[in-house]
Amino acid sequence: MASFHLTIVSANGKAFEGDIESLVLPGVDGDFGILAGHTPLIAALRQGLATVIRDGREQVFMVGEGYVDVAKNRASVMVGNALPVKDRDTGRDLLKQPHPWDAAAALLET
Amino acid sequence: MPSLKEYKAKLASLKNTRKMTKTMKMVSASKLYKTMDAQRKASAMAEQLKRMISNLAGSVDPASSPLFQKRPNPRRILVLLITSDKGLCGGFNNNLIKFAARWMAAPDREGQDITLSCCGRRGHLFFRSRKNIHRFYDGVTQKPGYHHAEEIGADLRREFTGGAFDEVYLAYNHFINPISQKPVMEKILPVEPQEIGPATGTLPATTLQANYLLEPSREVLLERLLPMTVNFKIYYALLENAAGENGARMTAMDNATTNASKLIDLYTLLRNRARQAAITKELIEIISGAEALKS
Repeated sequence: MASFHLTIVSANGKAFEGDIESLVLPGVDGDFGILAGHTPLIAALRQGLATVIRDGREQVFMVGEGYVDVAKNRASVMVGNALPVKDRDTGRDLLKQPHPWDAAAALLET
Repeated sequence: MPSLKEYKAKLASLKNTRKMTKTMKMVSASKLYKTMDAQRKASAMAEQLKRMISNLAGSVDPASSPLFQKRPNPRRILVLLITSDKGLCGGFNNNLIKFAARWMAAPDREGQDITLSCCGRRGHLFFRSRKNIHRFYDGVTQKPGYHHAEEIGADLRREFTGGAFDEVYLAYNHFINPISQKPVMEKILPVEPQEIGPATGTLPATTLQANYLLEPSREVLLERLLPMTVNFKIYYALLENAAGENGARMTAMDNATTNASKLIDLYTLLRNRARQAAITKELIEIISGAEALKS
């Protein structure tokens, strides 16, 4: 499957970098997907879950507010915060908590 | 003259103190490097955000966002004071507190209603009996996270656009290098349009719109990204404060270690003298005892 390059950058540095097959992001008007060869796009993101498919395997990140910039088969996600979570279900549970970032960081440490 | 035993006790306690100050210095040093690393990452990100905004800002009227709105004769002022939670870092917090107090007492601020929000316990402890404290954010200065800045930023923006405050300032210690920090006061709301920059971006406004799919519209996009610059300023100030705190503590503890070493040297000398005196005294007693027996 055709792939494209993705970087996820947060205030704490790079959270992800690599060639991936598909990406689903939480846009302010609803989730949307990006595949290789996407038209140039700048979109605002809300706090939510970003799903990355790399080598057929799913990786989920909890991302804060920010934006994505897609051009020339490269996507750069710029968000205030980004942390990896185990799967979408864990992510959804975390987002329901009053302090999702503290909870996600605590989960990462265990 | 104190006895040998007293000197020994004093020396033991001095040595413990030196051990403690030395450890604190090393801990601060490692924390300082971590914070400086975070600062580097954050500034890289802020740079990119700024570029994106100036790309987007292109032809948009900067007066469109409520965050730009200047109010004539600002009367209600909010100051967000960022200090550390813990002491033992020399004049780090004191300098800032004095600076802020002077700033608030300046003659041209007369008639203004100044309220404080505090990050960090030191500033809160000082001002809570002297000024109006609006909010106290606890536990954000030790290990600042972007989400803390996001929360604080959301509060500030809501109250600014809601009309509760006309201007919002940020007071914190600017981190120059590990041994020097400078207290600064910075206006963060309303946002100065020139800070976002005129359309210096590499992409002229029209090409951006022609070549890019913007989701949602450019105006809404700007509206969402602008608050992020405010958050970043707060986050960066929190990081500068954390770096400065550790730098100041490093210097303070280094001085304390040197002082403890000096005292240890002095007391070792005194102890040896006391020991020698005790030996001499015993010898005299023995000899004079023997002399007495002889005669």
